Formats: sequence, C-alpha cells, structure tokens
Amino acid sequence: MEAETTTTVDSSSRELLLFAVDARKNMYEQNEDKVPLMAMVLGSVKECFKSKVIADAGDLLGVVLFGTSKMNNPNDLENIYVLLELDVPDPESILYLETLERTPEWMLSQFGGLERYAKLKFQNLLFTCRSLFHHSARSKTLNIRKRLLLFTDDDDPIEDAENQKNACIRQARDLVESGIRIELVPLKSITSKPFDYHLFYEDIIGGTSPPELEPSTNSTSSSYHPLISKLEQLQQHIRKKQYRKRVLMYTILYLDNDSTKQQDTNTASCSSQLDHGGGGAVGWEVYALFHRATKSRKVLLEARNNEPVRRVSISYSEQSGALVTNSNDIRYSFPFDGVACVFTPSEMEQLGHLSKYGMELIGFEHKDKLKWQYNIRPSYFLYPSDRTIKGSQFLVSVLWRQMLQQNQIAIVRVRFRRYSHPRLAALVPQEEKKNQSSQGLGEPCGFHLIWLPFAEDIRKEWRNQYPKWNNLPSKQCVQAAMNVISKLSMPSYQPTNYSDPDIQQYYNGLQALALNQSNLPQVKDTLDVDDVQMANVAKKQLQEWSQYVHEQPIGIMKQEKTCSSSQQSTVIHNMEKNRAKQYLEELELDWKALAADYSGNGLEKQNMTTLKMFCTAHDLKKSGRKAELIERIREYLQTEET
Amino acid sequence: MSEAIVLVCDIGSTLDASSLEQLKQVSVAFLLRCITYGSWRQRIGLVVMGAREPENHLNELLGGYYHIKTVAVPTSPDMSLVKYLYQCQLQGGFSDYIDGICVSADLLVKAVNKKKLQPRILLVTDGKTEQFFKEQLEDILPALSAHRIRLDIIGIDSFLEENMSDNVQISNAALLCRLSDNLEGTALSFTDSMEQLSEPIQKSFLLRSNYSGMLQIGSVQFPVRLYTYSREFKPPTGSRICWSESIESGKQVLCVRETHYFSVEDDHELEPEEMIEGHYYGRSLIPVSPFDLPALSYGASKCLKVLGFLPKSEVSSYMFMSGVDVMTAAPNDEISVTYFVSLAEAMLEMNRVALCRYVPKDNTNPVLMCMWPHLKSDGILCLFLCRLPLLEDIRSYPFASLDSLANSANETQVEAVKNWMASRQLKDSFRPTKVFHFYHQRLIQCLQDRAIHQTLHNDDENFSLPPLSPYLQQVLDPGSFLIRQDSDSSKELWRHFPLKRIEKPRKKRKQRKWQFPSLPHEISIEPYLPNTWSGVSESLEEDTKEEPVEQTIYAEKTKIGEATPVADFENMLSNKRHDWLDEAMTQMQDFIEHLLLQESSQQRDDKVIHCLVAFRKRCMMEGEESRYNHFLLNVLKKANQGEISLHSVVERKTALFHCISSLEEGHKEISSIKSLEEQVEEQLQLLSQSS
Repeated sequence: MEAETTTTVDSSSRELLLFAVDARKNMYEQNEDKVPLMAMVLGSVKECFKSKVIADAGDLLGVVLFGTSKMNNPNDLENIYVLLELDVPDPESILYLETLERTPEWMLSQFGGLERYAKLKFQNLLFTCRSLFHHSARSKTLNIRKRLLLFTDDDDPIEDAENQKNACIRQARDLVESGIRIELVPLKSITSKPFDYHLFYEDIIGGTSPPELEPSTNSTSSSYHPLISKLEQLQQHIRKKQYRKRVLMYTILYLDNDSTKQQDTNTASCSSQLDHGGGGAVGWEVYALFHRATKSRKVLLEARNNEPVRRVSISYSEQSGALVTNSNDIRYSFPFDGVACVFTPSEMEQLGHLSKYGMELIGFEHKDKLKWQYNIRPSYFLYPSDRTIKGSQFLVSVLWRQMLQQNQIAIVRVRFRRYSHPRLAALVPQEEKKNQSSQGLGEPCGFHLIWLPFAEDIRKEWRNQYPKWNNLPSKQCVQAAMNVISKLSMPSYQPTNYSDPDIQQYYNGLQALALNQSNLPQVKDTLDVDDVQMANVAKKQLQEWSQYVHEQPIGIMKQEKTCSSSQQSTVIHNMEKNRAKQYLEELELDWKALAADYSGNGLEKQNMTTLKMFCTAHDLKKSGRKAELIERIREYLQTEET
Repeated sequence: MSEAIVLVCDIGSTLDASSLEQLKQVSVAFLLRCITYGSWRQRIGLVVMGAREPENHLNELLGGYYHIKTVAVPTSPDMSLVKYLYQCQLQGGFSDYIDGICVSADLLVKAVNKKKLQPRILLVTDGKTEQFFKEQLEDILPALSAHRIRLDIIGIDSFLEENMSDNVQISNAALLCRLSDNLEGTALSFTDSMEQLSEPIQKSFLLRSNYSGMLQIGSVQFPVRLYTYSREFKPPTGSRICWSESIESGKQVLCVRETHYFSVEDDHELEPEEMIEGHYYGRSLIPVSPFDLPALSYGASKCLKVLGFLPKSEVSSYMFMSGVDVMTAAPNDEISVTYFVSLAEAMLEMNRVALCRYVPKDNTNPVLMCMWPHLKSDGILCLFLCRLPLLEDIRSYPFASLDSLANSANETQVEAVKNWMASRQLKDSFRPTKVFHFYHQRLIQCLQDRAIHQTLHNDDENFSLPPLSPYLQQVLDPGSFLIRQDSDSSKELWRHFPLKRIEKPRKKRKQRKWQFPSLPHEISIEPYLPNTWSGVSESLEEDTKEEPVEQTIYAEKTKIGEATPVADFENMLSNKRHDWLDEAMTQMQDFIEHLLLQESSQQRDDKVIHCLVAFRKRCMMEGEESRYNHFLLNVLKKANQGEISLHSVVERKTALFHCISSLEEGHKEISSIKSLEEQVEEQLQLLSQSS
C-alpha cells in the first residue's frame, strides 16, 4: 500500500539516492533469521537498484560504507569507503552488490571493518556524502530530490565529546540546507542493544525527518516500525516503467464555427491563424493517462560480437533497380478497377486537409448519447492551458462547471498532427475525485477525449449470426443468474490489483539474463482466479442456475448452417457418389440382368459393399438388411425401366 | 450477397439532349458505386434500348427483338462501360420495355447459372415511349419472379416525379411500378436516385469470429462467440511508384523499400541469422539469443473467464483501451442461448458489468476485459467487451483543480457561457457514428474523378483535385448539425472572456542531452571499483576551520537576520529541539515593523509582503491568529498616525490586511474577535480615506 503511494509521488521528479551503510564488525552479526545484517541491507539495496533500473526514470544511486578500515573517497578521509558512486544503476553494480551480499566474509576481508561499535568520526561520513551529492551529474538540476539513507544498528557512533557532536550537527545542517533529506533505517541483530533514537540521531535528523515517521520514531517501543516498512518498500516487486508528467502536445479548440465556415469551403488553406485577436479558440495541453504499456526498446546486434549493427534503408525501382533519390519522383498509385489513379505526394497531403489543425467544436449533446460501445482507441486527457492563448483556463473552467452541471458533452472534430486524418471525438468533463483510501486512484479534473468511431468503423455483419429464440427465459432462471452475480460481486475495480503478466515476465526474464541468473522467478498471473475456489463460493447458486437452464430452455429457431459447412457437405456427398460410380464401373456388372435373376445367383450373390455402393451412386437409402437392400434396388431398376 | 446486374438504358427517339445528360449522370454514378463498393464476385452488364440496329443474341436466335443492343454481357465491371456511357449518342429507335427486360433477364439467367448471385435489372428511361404490347408484360412476370430477378426503375426527365403531366408517362409509370413492386424493386425519380447515390454506403466486411470457445463463470461454462463490433478503419494507402520510369515504360514501376544491416566492424552485409536481438535493461543493452526469447513473454491457454461482477458505476468509458467486441451465444445450441440470455438479462436488471480474463488464442498474453450488457432498440440483446487498463498502463499525473477558477467567475459571465452552450446544441438526429470517414470519402471521390478523367482523356498531366462532394461539404460544416445558428451568443461570450493569443514565438527549448554512456556495457562479474577522484577534491579541514559550531548554529538560528528573514524565521520554528515559537514570532513582528519604518520603495514593499505572507501563514498553522490580528491592528494604527508608510503595501496586497477569522476558537471569544476585526476594518478604511 505504502509502496504504491510512494511510486506515484516519485513519478513527479528525479531522485538522487545515496545509501550509507555501517560496515563495522557489528554489522556482520546475524539477526533473528540468521542472516547477517550486512547481507540483509545489501539485499534490500540491491532490490532497490533493480526496480530503479526498470523504472528507467533517470534516478542516480550510490552506496557508501562507513567504519571500514580501508578508505576510498575523494578527500582521503579515514574509515569511509565509497562502494558505488552516484550513477545510473546498471547490471554490473547489481551483480557486484549481489556478490557482496552472498559473501560477507570476503567483503569483510576486502574492506576491513572496525571493531564492534568502535567510535568514529561521523562528520566525515556526512561530509563525504555531501560532496558526493554535490559532484554528481545532476546535482544542479532543479526539482531533483536528494535522499540519504543511513543503515546502522548503532545508536551512538561517536565519541562522547560535545565537540564531536557539534561537528556532526553542523554537517547535518549543511546537508539539509543543500536540500538533502536524511532518513535513518535502524537495524537490529541478536546481540545489538535496543536502539535509542534520542541518543544521537535525533539531533542529526531530528528536524528533517518526514512527519509521518515522527510518531513512531519518537517512542522507543515502536521505533522498529520505520525499519520494517522501509525495507519492504525497498523490495517492492512490481516492475513498472515510470513516466514523468509530460505533455503530449499543445493544441487549440476553435469554439466559433462562424469563422471556420469560410475556411471549410476552401480546403487547401488550413492555416492555424486566428481571425480576430485570439478570440474563437482556447488552448489545451494533451496528456495520455491510459497508454498501453510496452516492452523496452530493442535493437539488432551482430551475433558474433554483440555489437549494434548499422541500419540502412533504401528505396529502389523494381524494374531497373536504380536507387530512388529524388522524392519528387515518387507518386502514389491506387488501383480503381483496372485504372491506376496516380497522385503526387503534395496532392496526397492536400487530400487530407479537410479541417484545421487542432480541434473544432461541432456542438454540445447530452451525456447519455455517448454509448460505451462507441470506442476505438485509448482516450486522451485534456487540461486547459494559457500557454498560447491567455484566458483559456478561465473560460474552460467556467465551461467545465456548466457542462458538469448540465450533464453535457462536447462533440469536436480533431486533427492533432499534420499527416493525421480528421476524426470525431467527444469531450467529457471530469469532476475531481480525490482518492479516499490510499489505494484507489484519484481522478484529476479536466476533460477526457474519447474517440468516436465513423460509420465505417462499426460492423454489422455479426447480426447474421445472432441466435433467434422463441420465448424469454423464465423468471426463476433470471433470478438464479442474479443470485450468481450477487454472490460473485466485487466491490470496485482496482487497476492497481492487476498487473500485466506479460510485461512482468519480460522484465523478470530480462533481469535474469542481465544478471546471469539461470532460474527465472515465476510471475504471478494476477489476471487469473482460482476456479475451484470461485465455484465453491457460489456453489449452490451456480447449480441452481444450470438446473433451471437445463429444465426450461428457451427454444431457438435453428439457423441454416453457415454457407461453408453446407458447401462442405455437398462436396463430400458428390465425392462419395463419384467414388461409388467408379467402383461399380470397375466391376462391370449388368445390373438389370442381375435384378431379373430371381434364382439366387443374381443380386443375392453380390456382397453388401457392392450393394451399398450401388445405393450411394443412385441416391438410395443405404440402411437395412441385405434383403431390404435387394428389394430397394429391384424397385429402383423397375421404375427406371418404365 | 453479391449481385449480377444488367443496366438497361433508354436511348430511343423520345429523349433529347438534356435527358440524355441526366441518363449519363445517373448511370455513371450507379456504375461507379458498384465499382467502388461491390465485391469481386459481382457481374455487371449493359443493354441499350432504342438502338437503330438490333444486336442481341435473342434476335439472332429467335428474331423479333429489334432496337435492343447488348453492349456488354454481365462480367466484372470496368471503366470501359463508363467510357461507353459517356460517349454514347442518341440513336432514335423505338424503345420497347418488354424486349429490353426479356433480353437482359436472359443474360442474367445465363450469368447467374447456379452461382450465388442476386440477379437484378435496372431500367433507366424517360417513359415517353408508348407501349403496344402491355399484355405481354403480364406473361413474363411469372418467369421473372421464378428466377428471383429484381427490377428497379429510375426515371429521367420528370418521369416518376410527383408532377408528371404526360399521359404516356403516367400510363407507363403505372405499368412499370406494378412490375417493380411485384419483383421487390423500387421506382425512383431522377432527383431521388441521385440523392441516394451520393450518400456513401458501407462496404461489408468478411465475418470472422475473434474467439470461439467457452465463457466460464465459476463451474458453469457455455460456448460463445466474439465478433468485432468497432475497429479503426484504415483507408487504403496506395502503392509507391517511380514516376519517371513508369512514364518511360508505360506501366507501373513499383518503388521497393528495403532495410539492410551492416556490421559496424568490417562493413559487410549481415544475414538475418547473423543477428540477434538486444533489449535495453535500464541503460544497458542486453543481448538476447533466440533461445531465450520465449522466456521473455508470457503465454496462457485460451480462455474467457469471468473474474467477478461490479456495479456499472465503477467503470467509466474513458478507461477503455481498445475497439469493442460483441459476444453472442453459439446460435444453434439451445442451452448456451438460454445461459446467455438469462445472464445478460440479469446483468441488465442489476446494472452490473463483469471483469473478464480474455486470452484469444493459446499461448498469448491475457488481457483484462470489461463486459457489459446492451439491449438494442430493435430487441437485440448482446454483451459488449472492451479492454481495461492494467497497473502498467495507467499514468497518474497531478493536476490543479479548476474549481477555484470556476468559482471566480461572476454571474454575467456564467450566463454568457450558458447562453452560448444553449446556442450550440446539436440536433437530435445527429449521430456521430452515422458520419462517414472524412478522408476515406474524399479519397473515393478523388479516385472516381481521376479514373473517369484518365479513361476519357488518356493524358496524365494537367488535372487538379475536384471540389468537395456535396456530402462532404455537408458533414464538414459544423453548422449543419446545430439546431439553430446565431452568432450573437458567441460575440457575447468573447466580450465576457477576452482571450489573447500570445504571439511571441516561443524559443525552441534546448534539447536536454543526458550524458549517458552511449556504448552498451559489457557485463562482467569482477568487482567494480571506482578508480580515481579527478576534479573532486575538497578539503574537510578548510571546511571545518570556520567559527566554532556552537556559535554558528545558535547565532544564526536565534535571530532573524536582514538577509534572509523568512528562511531564518522558518528555521527557528521548525527546530524540534527548542520551542522558539514565541521568540520567532516576536522577532518577526519587530522585523516587519522595522522594515516599515524605512522609506517606502519597491524593494522594501517586496520584503514586507514576503515577511507578512510567511508570518500570516505561520500564525494560522500554529494557532496564533489573535497575535496576527493584534499585530495588524497595531500596524494600521501606527500607519494612520503617520508613523509608518503603508499605502503602497495595502494597495498591492489588500488580502493580507484582513483579520484571520478562526473557527476553532470558542463562542466566548467571538465578541472580542469581532470587535478586533471591526477595529481593523475601521483602521483600514481610515487609511484608504487618508490616501
């Protein structure tokens, strides 16, 4: 739940995230689950790296160890080891973190660690962090969020001297002043003493900790809650690319159709110039709030060395093979019943010039006229903008209010881009709805643009296949179906509960390939339900329903079989007939003579197969015993004679 | 079903030049429509009546069918018929309807010959020729209906209009109408038929089910079919040809576009099997071998399953992500139809929709569908399905509320908008889904025009696009759909809402270029170690050499300085260690008064307003409303006594000089607050008067 809210907040701005991890020997002790604290921390840091890679939002991440015996930092300060500088997360660093996570002993030998709870110069750590932030690639960007996450189980890391503490406080204050938020993730191993927040850290991050943490961190009894939520938050498993708020395009809506009239008759001129001063049109920003998620970009590589290949697209003539270099030489040809109609590119462009760029208002209609089945594409979201036309927001907001009150929608003609064809669309005003719970998504206020289908887009052929029935289903039957529905009801539609298994599988697979993992984690198909469980929930109702359906079917008018199947049956029938005729011809029997012979050497001598073949060839019934068949054949031959 | 049509045209003695023109117009329009919308199976023939020389097979066989000429036996239509019609001349023979119908019916019977074609005769005539053998018509009627031949009549030159005056025309009209009624046809006058022919029609699609299988609800399942209801229609795009070579060779030379791949290293062309896909994982490129590709997609088995039922209000149509599919039960299965109808009725009754998991084919990706019932006005009950967004598809962006802006409009402005909206109401008959694709119709129109031009003149140059067709002119004019049109209400609207176009062309924003490693990373498992620290050298010693920490912190924090008063003020208040509320507030008050004592200037006013805003906000947050109110009163009094200058500030931000009215304070204090407020108002008025 919390993870969801944070991701929505995250999407608004970029982030610099620095993890500062205590690396003294106390951190290599195990927690209740027999996992060394260090491994646990690195594991969650790794998960955070992973999800940031997929999100691909341009966030920078880095890791600093403190309390090591080796040092690696820009200012050569003791006991500070910069593990990963602030950078875009990549598979290498994830692999590196994973190696460290698996082998804490090797890590200890590699970097060395100070003794358990050894006192250190905490201000050095803060200073290093500040300079890392300061020198990172994007520190100067506006609206960037900077966070420093401290992982430790030591509540009092400095020597007990006021001088030291003041130095730390001063450094912390400098950090806060340069816009860095410090967050503490206290940890607990079996041996570590209870974490006293007030002892040291209150002074460091006291004024800066986010308000939602305060109540829990202030009381010692519940001081581990932030840890739990924090670590969970870092380990969220939904892989989703993040998108920052981005305007798709700016457009204008012409409200005045008096001014459009003159232009309509003159198709060629579709200038976006306004007639009088700016009146007649309002400006908009277009957003896509619903957009089909796609897999990430792919390119072709040379199999030998995994280098990207060079792509060259050429156009050449089919006849001579000469390259077509002059674009004026290309024309567009449409076959029209044997005659090729040729248009030049400029004519093609002119053909599409049926309305102005942007949107033109056609009129208002009652909302009920917009049927749900009139849908062809995902909708767009429109918000008024004063960017090109001043005063748009004000007019649109009044219009918005009125349309909501009168329950109206606007029908507009839309042509957003130069080469797109005009279409009709409906502008539906949207009232603002705040998300009541932390889950459901709020609805921003503005307009939804719903694309309307043309007459060509709607198909009617399916009506031929529509079943026809005699009487309506009985009341009990409908009631039984209603019982099933109410039993299988869900309270609301939560898009957040359903993730696309295909996309999740893709990201999981890609991650496994990138990190050389052989076993793929299986994705959970959130679009599926347990059939057995569902059947059990409404077991009685479902049984009742199917009972009524089987007892009182509504009676249908059987339709002719579809043309393909009836054709097939005649084809099969003819084939059989031909085959039978061929068979009889090969036997070369004189059927009339046989029929005349009643002595027992005539038809009676022939076997069943031959008799049946005769029946097939002459469209007679093939059923019955041998005597019946002979009777039938004699009858047929006699009637034929007469 | 496709049709076999024989077009019978009257070019007999009774026609004149103008009626011949009408005949050409209507039959060409009819032919073009057949060519444009008809299927490849259709057959079209042409027979003319009133020819000088007989030229038909019945005359050769039996004799007696004079004045009838078979121009074309029913075949796939082409432009030569159009060409013939354009160039045909009056021949002045006697036009006998019976002979014409007999000849064309015989042609049709031959053409249909057990094929699945609907035979049809279209007779175009002016109805002025007196018929001698009316009785014979009655004789051929049974034969025509036995072959299910349909007969349509199109009149030219006022034939079949309301105001026919000619006696011959009237008697012929009675005769032909009776005939066409019996043969399920229609009789139309020239204007009516031209109107019908200019309206676009829909080309039929091949019916194909998208899904044919079980619908599963818990343990119940029954066979259903899904068909396409709405999908985006793509107008034809045409093929690219090389123009200069086409002219030289006299036939179409296609222009082929191909993509080739070359190795960067040694520049040789690569075959498809020499390449693999690379996918971006974050910023690094991961090579994926063909064996690994299946692991990157999820496949489920074919199914359509109800996940649960929802109230209809939970879903809105703007969430829909795709075209709509329609579901019907398997038509010849009684049980499944019963299931289907009872389910749809129950959903209608309860106003519910269903969430479904839909996998159209085996081993494809499941999607989430919304299923809702619909009862059409013609009694067709069906279920529609449309795709819903998933977690990954939704992008939630924050937007500022429009409420406050809408509230700030005054009544006349609201009234103007209301009137304007009322003047822009659409006609009740307007159906957006009855409008045809603008571009597609335009393309068809231009194609027909160009095809005629090329057949008649056979030169390729010097022609332009035709003007918009009447249909397009009508649908492209927004005014044609409105109930009434007046420009007064919109003038009124612009008067109340002045809009100003910002003419200044915006500077092109610089493309922000992130400096990411452009080359793909090789992946290695060796530990990654940062090596050098170039350019990043700051000395901690220098940084710490400043004044002692104690002093820096407290000296700054406990005093509101000249340079950044608001920041200092906020800092003091947000300090969690000490409660400096009182201290900060007092200091802020002193500071503002100190500022006000200075001479009035733009810069000073900015500062004052900045401080006041912060002070007011903090007072509201900390529940110190009365402090602010008192302070306000104090300041205003001083201003009125002339000690400080306040006019310019009050003019710029009057809102700041109103008391904060607190709701939380109890009833007891209301009286005192009131009095305080009144006092402040008084002082404010005094001040404005004095200025």
